[in-house]
Formats: sequence, structure tokens, C-alpha cells
Amino acid sequence: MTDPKDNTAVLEVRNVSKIFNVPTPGFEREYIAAVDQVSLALREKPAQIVSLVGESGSGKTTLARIMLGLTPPTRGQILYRGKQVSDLKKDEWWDFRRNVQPIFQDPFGIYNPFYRVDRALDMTIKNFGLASSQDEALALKSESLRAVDLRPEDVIGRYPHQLSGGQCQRVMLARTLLLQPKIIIADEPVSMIDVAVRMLFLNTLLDFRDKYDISSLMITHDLATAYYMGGPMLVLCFGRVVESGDIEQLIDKPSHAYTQQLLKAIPSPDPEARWETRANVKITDRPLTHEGDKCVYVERCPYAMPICSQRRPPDYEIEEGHYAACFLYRDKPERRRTE
Amino acid sequence: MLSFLGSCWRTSGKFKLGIAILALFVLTALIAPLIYRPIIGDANPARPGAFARWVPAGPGHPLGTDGHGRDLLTDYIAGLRTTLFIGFLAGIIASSVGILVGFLSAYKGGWTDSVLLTITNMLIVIPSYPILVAIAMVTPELGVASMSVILALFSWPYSARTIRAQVMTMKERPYVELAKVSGQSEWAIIFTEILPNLMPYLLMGFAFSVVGAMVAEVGIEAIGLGPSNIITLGLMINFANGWGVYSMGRLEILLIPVGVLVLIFMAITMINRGMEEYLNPRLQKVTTEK
Amino acid sequence: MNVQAMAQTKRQGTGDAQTLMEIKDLRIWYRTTRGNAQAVDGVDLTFKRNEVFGLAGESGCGKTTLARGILGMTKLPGFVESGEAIYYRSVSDSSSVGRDLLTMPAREMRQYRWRDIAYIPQGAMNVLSPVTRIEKQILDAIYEHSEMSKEEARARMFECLEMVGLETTVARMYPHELSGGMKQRVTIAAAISLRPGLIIADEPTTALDVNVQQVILQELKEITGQLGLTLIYVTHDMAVHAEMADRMGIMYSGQIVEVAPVIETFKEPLHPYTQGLISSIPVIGGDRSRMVGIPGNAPSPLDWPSGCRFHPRCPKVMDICREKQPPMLEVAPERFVACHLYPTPLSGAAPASEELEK
Repeated sequence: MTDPKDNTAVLEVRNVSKIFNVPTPGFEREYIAAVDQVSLALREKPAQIVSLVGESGSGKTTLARIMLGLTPPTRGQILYRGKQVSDLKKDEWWDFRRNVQPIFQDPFGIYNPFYRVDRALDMTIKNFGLASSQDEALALKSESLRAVDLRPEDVIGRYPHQLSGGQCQRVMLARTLLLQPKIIIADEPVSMIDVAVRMLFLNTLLDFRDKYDISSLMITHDLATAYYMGGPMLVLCFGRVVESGDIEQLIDKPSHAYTQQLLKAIPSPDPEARWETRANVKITDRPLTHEGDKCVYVERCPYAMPICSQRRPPDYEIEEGHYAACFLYRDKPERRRTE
Repeated sequence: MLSFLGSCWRTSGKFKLGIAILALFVLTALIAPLIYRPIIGDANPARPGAFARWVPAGPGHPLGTDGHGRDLLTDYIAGLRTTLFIGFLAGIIASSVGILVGFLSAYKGGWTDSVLLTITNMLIVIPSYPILVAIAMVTPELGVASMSVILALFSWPYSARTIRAQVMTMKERPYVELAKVSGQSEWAIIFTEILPNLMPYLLMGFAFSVVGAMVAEVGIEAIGLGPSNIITLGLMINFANGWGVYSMGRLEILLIPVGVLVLIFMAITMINRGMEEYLNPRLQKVTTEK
Repeated sequence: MNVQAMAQTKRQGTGDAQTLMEIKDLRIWYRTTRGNAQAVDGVDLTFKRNEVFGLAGESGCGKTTLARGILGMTKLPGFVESGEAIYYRSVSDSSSVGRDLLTMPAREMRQYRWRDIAYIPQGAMNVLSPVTRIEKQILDAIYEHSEMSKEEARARMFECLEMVGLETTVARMYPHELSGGMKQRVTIAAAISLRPGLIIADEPTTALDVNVQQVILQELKEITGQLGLTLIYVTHDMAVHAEMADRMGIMYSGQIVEVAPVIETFKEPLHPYTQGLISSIPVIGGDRSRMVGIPGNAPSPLDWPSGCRFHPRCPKVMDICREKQPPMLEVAPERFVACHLYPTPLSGAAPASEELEK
């Protein structure tokens, strides 16, 4: 997992928080930190796929939008090639735009229903000057569609409702391929398409990494998908990264209570290995957290100690490259963070 | 836009019927001078005393003449023209203002939104009809244009609110975000991403404004508060009342303008419904029952 | 007693399970401007008493149409083209009376709904009226479908709330005061309130997070065992089926392609589609070699492929597959599959040469 100060990082998230005001009765202002002091970095070489695991309410989509430059962070910085995204000059901004691209969750919602599907490709080709003539553009489109296993004649000229979810999502991949970005930020890219088709999509992302050196941030709630992609993983809970490391480490030695709970709660596709014990989770509302005052999981944690309600736990190093933000490990070394 | 209308035509029977009826009236209004010619030549149909009063229907006067010595058919056609004109003019003004305000409000948000929204809501809350009546009472001869402006004044807020609501949801849509990351400029996003999807709402808002303006016009004229030198359908209703056509046994003098208005409103409503049917797939009519 | 032990006891009881419901050649189509969408097209299924039946399949396969159709909830433009759904209400320990739910008059159907068959739809939590207290909503359902007295109904309601793990204080609350998981539990409590013989649940946990899902699934399973009812659980999530189902039915293109006990479905799938499905599920801690999934796209109900509907995507396709639809045969005890790879039924006799469509 990349150390945030790594110089080969293309896109770096440094201590980013996104705070929203929550309307409350009375005059007190409550706020919620949808993203709460998150740091991570995506490297260029070698290309890697980083999984960000979080459930709804964890802040993952907000983080994705911040990383894409669609919304500014309230605190902290997003650095593209070392420069703050808000400080980029025009050329640098275009470079950022081109090299950090998204894949969104809803395969149909991503297309303006008024237009045909390939308009998404046309728009990209035009704005980034990828072709100098209509013919060249058509050739480029067809090539990128074929590269993701779609037949151009099945797609070009069609409207979104005429294609399946899997096809729509793959057109998105084709679009991404046109630009060959350094980073793809994929926010739940497979959760709305059929299981049988998910593999094709995931394999394409893996191909992108191996063949085109494209790194991806794979945001998902499904640990099994993250496992399939392999590589570094971060676990996001209520806006905070509670555990991070290589996925093998996390599966082998899940250290934070939330990670442990997640692993236990996921149904396993093996009828001979069913859940054995009853879940004992207290279902609570998302806590309104104020940065820095307590551990975000304290209300649900089976190991809660007094200190957990007093301070926010720092990252402790469980083993090389594997960190957990939990006071259970306070005798281990703290992760060195750069400010 | 044209393909949208074309799709509505193909999908909805209601739409076809509504367009047909409306087209009939609009066409009649447009070729009015041709209809006038055989009856009154090139004269102004509103000229009183051109003919004998209360001539029953017959050759030369397909519907007879009225109590002012005017040919009834030309009365109605002139009235249709003016009423439609007022309706459409008011509709255009109301829609334009409504779109502008609604869009700005939703897209800019923040302060702009608060201010514009307050103004819009205030206008909705104010009872428009009494105010219209009051204005009509104190203003000496109102012109057609001024009437249209006044009527538009009270119908733009509805358009504005609908547009605002739509734009607010649309600007968060994934395809707008995709446009942003694909390098589309803000203007491009407004015109190519958002506006086309607003088209149906614009059209529906326009239709409502038109109907609203016509209803208001009839409301003012029928109680005699409007200008009496310009013939409108509302005015004809007022006259018909005043002449006491019930007792005269010439009830059709009242029923014709009422009937025409009803048909026009029905037609516009059907057009609206037709657009809705196309837009909302679940409402699409299915082939005949088993 | 933990859940697995519960499952064990139930399995011992299924030896003399009777049939609860039989679906015969059910076809439910939708009229569209482009012809009939044959969403459910020839489904034969048998449900037993006291079991959890998992109905699996992907989007567009027709499982929701089937679930709703069984209950007579098919709305225009959908219609039942043909087929029967016979529900057997037990009148004594050894006998039961079967009635076709699809041809029943509406009045009679209403008697069956809720009392015999309950339905938990997708997004059930949005079905709760936001302006009524929970208790009133459950009690209203009870009053409408039974003749219990006020005291009995209240007692039953509290009993059900407790069974789903909710505190009795929930009864006085409004839906917006509850979390998604709690609302879903309320709908389950309402569904079991009249002790139906059958509950059909359509993706009840899709919108919930993983922890809440686990709690609800475990509770559902336990209740099914305790009350001895049959649960038909509809979802595309195979892992959920692995946890819940006793038997599974795999649906593809409007038809059932395989029915088998859950372990066999996962360990020894027969139909190539089932095999493809099973091999598309990533497993944590498993082998990470590239998985293949199922190539191609699901066909459209307006235009099903000829012969076996899976043939355009099937890795084991043969010539006969393009021409003839394979019949559903029992090729091993309790194992049914509709595939030309398995032409010999258990009874040994070749299938009668009926007219097979297309």
C-alpha cells in the first residue's frame, strides 16, 4: 500500500474531510463528516487496483466525487502529481481531467436519455481532441468498443434502454479506454449488473491494469469482489478509514471490529458453511461525529473501552503495510503520517 | 423537440385528437380574413350596425346577426382569433419568464434561489383573480397586449416552480457528472444536457399558461370588465348574457363561444396528457384487452 | 438454539412433507406495443410444506413476475395466459384441499391472501404508510383478514414483533422513526401475523447493509422453522440462497431450468446455466484465477431464442438445442433439469414424444 508521501503517487488524498451541515431542531448546528480525515494515494507505476470497501453511509461516493474534482473537500487536499487540484492551471487541469476518470454505479443513469449511447464516446473524443475527422472518430469508437468485447454495430446508434445493464457498463469502459487515464475511479461499478456479467467487467479492469497500465480505485460494498481484484484494500466506516493493508492481510488477520463484523456477516456461497452463530449487532443510526473526539465505531464495538469514547484512535501498525485504527493495538507503533 | 413531438404523436391517441382539434381552431383563426370576405368584405367585423339586428340564420349570415348588428359568425371567429392570441401571447411571456427564473433559481442555488423562490411563492399565494379584476376595473380600455402581460404575470410562477424542481434533480444526475468529467463546458451542459430533458416540462408549462390565460380572460370579459371594443370569446359570452338569449330562444349565441372554449381547453389538456403518456411508459396504452 | 441446529430438526421433519403448492405450466405475459413479452413462459414447480425454497435467476428472467403472479397480483398490462397455481390448504393432519389461485374470484382470493399466503415485496419498507403508527398498520391487516377480537389481535401483534426481534415499544412508533432494517422487520412481522402457510419474499434485503441483512435472514430462517411455514425466497444473490434455502429453483428466460436441493445445486450443478452462475461467484479466500462468467446477453422476452433458450450462450450447445426445447426431467431423486445433456429421466423411460415447441 502506498505511503502517502510516495513520490510516484499520481493522485493523492491528504487528510480530506467533507463536512455537511445537518438541519436540527433548535439553534444548535450539527454537522456530519461524510468523509473524515481520509488519506490514500494511487500510484502510477506499477499500475495497481486499490479496493475501497464501505457500505452505504460510509462516505465512499462522496470521497469518489472529491477525488474526481466534482466537489471540493472541506478540509485537506487533493493532489494531482503533487499539485493541489484547486491550484491547477488550465493545461494542468485538462491533464487531470483526462487522467482521472470515473465509472459510475448506475449503468443506465449515466446516459442522458435524450441521446444515443455513443454520444458519450463522441463527447469525449471531441473535447479531448482524440480524432481529427469523422471517420477517424468512428474508427476510434469502434476499436474501443471491440476492445471491451462489444460489437460496434450492436451499440452505435442505440438508445440506453435498448441495451442491457452489462452492455451499458461496458460502453463506459470503452469510453474510459479512449482516454487511457492513469486512474479510474470506479464507484460500485458492478452492483447494478447481473452476477454473470460482473466477471466480464472485472476482468476488463484487470486487463486495463495489465495491458494499459491503468490503475483503478474500486469502490464496493462487496468484500468478495474486492478479494477477486486483489491488492491493497481500505475499509471505510462512517467516513473514516478503519483498517488498511493488502487484502490477504485483512482476510487473514482482520483487526478492526468492523472488518471482523463484515467478514462474518457476508453470506458465503457455500451451503455447507452456513452461519453458525446468531449475529449480535446492535443496529444503530449513523452517529453524528465530530472530528477527533471518539472512535466512530464505539457504539457497536464489542471491545469498546473507556478511551474509545474520549479520543479518536490513530492508525496502528499491525504488521508491515497493515494498519488498523483501534485502541486495542495501542501498544503497537503508530503510523507515521505526514502533515 | 420535433422528434419528441413526433414520438408523442405516434404513441398517444389523445395527443393526436388534441392536436387535431386545436389545429382546427388555430387554422380557422388564421384564415379568418378569408371567411370574413364573403360576409362583410374587408370591413372590421366589430363594426356595429353594419347589418340589421337579430337577423336569424340564413343566406348571407350563416349564424344570423347579433344585437349590435354584427354578423355572428364573424363575431365568433374574431373572438376566437383574439382569445387564442391573448392565450398564446400570455403563455409565451409566462413560460419565458418562468423558465428563466426557474432555471436560474435551481442552477445557481444559494442566495439567488432564496430570493427568486420567495418572489415566486408570493405570487402564487396572492389570489390572482381579484387582483386582475381590480386592475381591469381601474384601467380604461385595456389593449390586447396589456391584457396578455397582466395575465402572464400570474401564471409564470407555476412554470417557474416546475422548472426549478426539475432542474434541481437534473443537475445531480449521473449524466451531468459524466459530462463534466468529459470536459463539457458549463454552457454546453445547460444547453445540451439539461435543456433537452426539460423540453416536455416546458411544453406542458406553456400549455398550462395558455389555458390559464384564456380562462382568466374569459373570467374578466364575461363579467364585463374587459375592453368592449375588441371582440373576444369572453366578451361574446358577456353580450349573450346581456341580451338575454335564453328568453329569446337563441341559446346557441351563448353556447357557441362556451362550446368553443371547452373544446380548446379539452384539446390542450389532451395534448398535455398525450405528452405525459409518452413520457411515462407505464401509462402507455396497450393493445386491446383479452 | 443456534440456527444450524434449527435447520437440522426441520430436515428430519420433511420426510413426510406434503405438497403445499403446485404450479403447472404457468404463463404470464405482458402486452406491449411490440407484441407479447412472455415473461413467465411454462413454469412447473412444486412447493412442499415446511421448507425454504430459493428462487434464483437474474434480471429479466421473470422471477418477480412469477412471485406476484402466484398471488394473483398480476396487473395490466400483464395477464395470465395459461396455467394453474394450486394451493393446498390442509383440512386435517392427512388431507388437504387444493384450489387454483388463478381462477378464483377476487373475493375468495382475498381470503387466501395474508391468511394462507403472505407477500413481502421488494422495498417492503416503503410500503408502510408514513402517517400511521406501526401498530395500527399491523392490526388493520389482522382485522381485515381474520375474525380475531381486539385483545387477540393485539396479543398476536406483540408476539410477532417479538419474533422478529423488535421491542414492543416499536408498535407505537411511526415508520420514519425506524431504520431501514427495522422497517423491514415490521413487514415481516405483519406477514407472519396470521400464521400463513406460505410466505413469498422478493429481494427483501437488497437495500439493506450487510450486517442488517444477516440479522434479518437469520430471523426469517428461524421463524420459518418455528412456525413450520414455507418460505419462497426470491433473489439473484446466490450466496443468500446458500445460507437460506433447502431447495433451489433456477430460472432463466421465463422458465425453470433446474430444481435441486441446495447442496447439490452448488456442488454439482447440472444445467450449464447453473454451472455458469455458480462459477461466477467470487469467494473470499478462494482461488483467484480468472473467472469466466457467462458470455453473451440475456435474451429479450419479446423474442426468445428457438429451442433451448440458453443455447446462444451455452458452452455445451448441441444441434438439437437450437431446435427443440428440452423437457424438465427428474434425473435423480429430487433433482430436475431441463437440458438435452440429460435426456434420460430417473424412471428410465424416454420422455413421451410430445410436440415440443419450436
